[in-house]
Amino acid sequence: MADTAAGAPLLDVRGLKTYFHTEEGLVRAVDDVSFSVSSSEVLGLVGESGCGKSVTAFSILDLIPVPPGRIEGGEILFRGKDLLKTESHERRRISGNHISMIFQEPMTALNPVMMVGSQITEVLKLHTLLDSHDRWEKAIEMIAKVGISEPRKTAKSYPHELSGGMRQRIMIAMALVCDPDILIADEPTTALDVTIQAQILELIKAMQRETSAAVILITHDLAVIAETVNRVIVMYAGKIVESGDVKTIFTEPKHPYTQGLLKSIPVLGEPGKLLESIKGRVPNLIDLPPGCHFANRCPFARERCFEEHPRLVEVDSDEHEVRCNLYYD
Amino acid sequence: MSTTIATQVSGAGTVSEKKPNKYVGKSPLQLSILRLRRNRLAMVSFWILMVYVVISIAGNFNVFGLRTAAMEFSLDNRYVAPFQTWQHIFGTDNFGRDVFARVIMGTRVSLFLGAAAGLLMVPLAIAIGSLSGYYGGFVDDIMMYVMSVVVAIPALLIIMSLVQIMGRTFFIIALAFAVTGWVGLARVIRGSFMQAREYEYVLAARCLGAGDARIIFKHIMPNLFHFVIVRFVLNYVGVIKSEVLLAYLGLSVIGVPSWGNMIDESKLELMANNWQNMIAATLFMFVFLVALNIFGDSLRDALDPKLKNVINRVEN
Repeated sequence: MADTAAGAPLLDVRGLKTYFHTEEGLVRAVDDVSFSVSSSEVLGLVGESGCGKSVTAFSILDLIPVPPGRIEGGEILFRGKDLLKTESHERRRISGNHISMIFQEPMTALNPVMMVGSQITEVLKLHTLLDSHDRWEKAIEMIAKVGISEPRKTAKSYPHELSGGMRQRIMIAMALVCDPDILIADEPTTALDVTIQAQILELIKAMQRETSAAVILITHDLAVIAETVNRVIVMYAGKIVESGDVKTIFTEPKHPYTQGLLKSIPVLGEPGKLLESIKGRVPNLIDLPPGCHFANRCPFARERCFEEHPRLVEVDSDEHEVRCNLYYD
Repeated sequence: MSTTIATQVSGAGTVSEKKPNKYVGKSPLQLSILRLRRNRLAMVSFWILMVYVVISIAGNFNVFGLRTAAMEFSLDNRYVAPFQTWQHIFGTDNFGRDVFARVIMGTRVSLFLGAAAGLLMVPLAIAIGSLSGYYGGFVDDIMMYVMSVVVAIPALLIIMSLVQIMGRTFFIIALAFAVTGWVGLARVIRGSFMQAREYEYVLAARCLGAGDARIIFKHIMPNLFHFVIVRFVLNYVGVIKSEVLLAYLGLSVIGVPSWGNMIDESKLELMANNWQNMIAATLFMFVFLVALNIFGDSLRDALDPKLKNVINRVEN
């Protein structure tokens, strides 16, 4: 794998459409999503539950349950190669080796009947030519690297003997053991308590700096985004509504949804102030209104918003894009 | 001075090393075995079963002339009453064969039949259940259709026709029990696979590049072994009881004593007030089945402690 031409993104997702054909109707879980990740970049994917963040990640890794789900269109280019068109064995070689993932729930993401060390060696067995002794040593080295004391003892323990934070560390070790180019972290801290959250994020950042892997961090926690990522993509109802540099998004959010999200973060030291929330609920993805999906909750909604679906347009700088009728004619 | 401190320290170290926690670093299966070993009733049943295993192995060879005593006719010695002579402690039957020797030979047939039927049934159930549950869709539709058809025909009918057509041999009878017995386990495995293929550790294995076969056998199957073990034991009970029924219909293994054959033969002897054949076979079978049932239940509780708690809660 020679390095790609300078400036070319490592992963380029273009017009990705992942639909679920359910009994109630067609669910457009991910609808025309495009973004790119360049090497050693940390990209944040934010949005509330059911907005298509995880489905986007699952599409990249070919984890969509095939009936009812289907990728209906678009391209996922990894180093210029379309993953959706590669053979399944070739794709398996890429996933795990070059792209890997950390899951949300450390309690269920490890196999309960396998020693955690063996679960790490499993990955090495699939992607390297190391013999069993070297694999075990490498697993122990990896466990030590993610900050677990007594790695030799831990490698021989079973998931039920480890705490949530330790399991998440093992998951990270498992995901990073083959030095992937891209690490997708799907809400890695949601199931952990706050002190452990900070440690795990710190660990992901440290590992990212060390291996210079690109990270796609999926979360609904804006605090996590603010302190971890370089660039943010905000998703709503299966579409990207705003994307840009993390500073720009936090200082001058353009989309009313992003503004609402930022207003609903509690601020320390301002007691007695009622926290703002976004009124209403996410529309049912089965029968979306023809206009802007956010129109029914938007404080600035005009008549036009209910009729015409907005385009993604650039505002201010070239990196900042917004999907809102307010910003163009 | 320093040496004494060093010895003290190392002495303290050995004290703490002497009591390692035996629950640390044990796999779920090892923990289940520890739980099982704490259950006294289960261990008693286990040792009873072991005695039966030894008996059945002994029955396979001509130990102490057992085989000769069980097979040879001696019409002078018909219907010797039990507990009269040491030579025929359980008496003799219609043809003068020693009942004690026959009951021990019969243990062999019943135990081997149960084991063989289970060993044929388990791979069949695993193959069909896992394919059906893991792939779903079209594959699942076909497998479910096959299962429904097999269940819809009375099991006894299938067994009888198979044995009639292909012969009353040991292997065919075991096969007949396997063919009728796999559906229950296959259904359980199918359901568990459907659940498991959505689990995050399976997704994790997939996204780390594992293929289908690897996921089925290495990642999901070991999680379902408790179902397989428990079902194997319960199937064993069923096979042994069915063998008696089959013998009564004149379809059990031909030419060798089995518990079923002995009970079948005793229906004529009972009329002449000779009950030794019936009682001996029934007693041996009863003790074995009770032990097997208790052991099977304890095994299930030990392998799936959550289930036991649920049952306790419901009962209280």
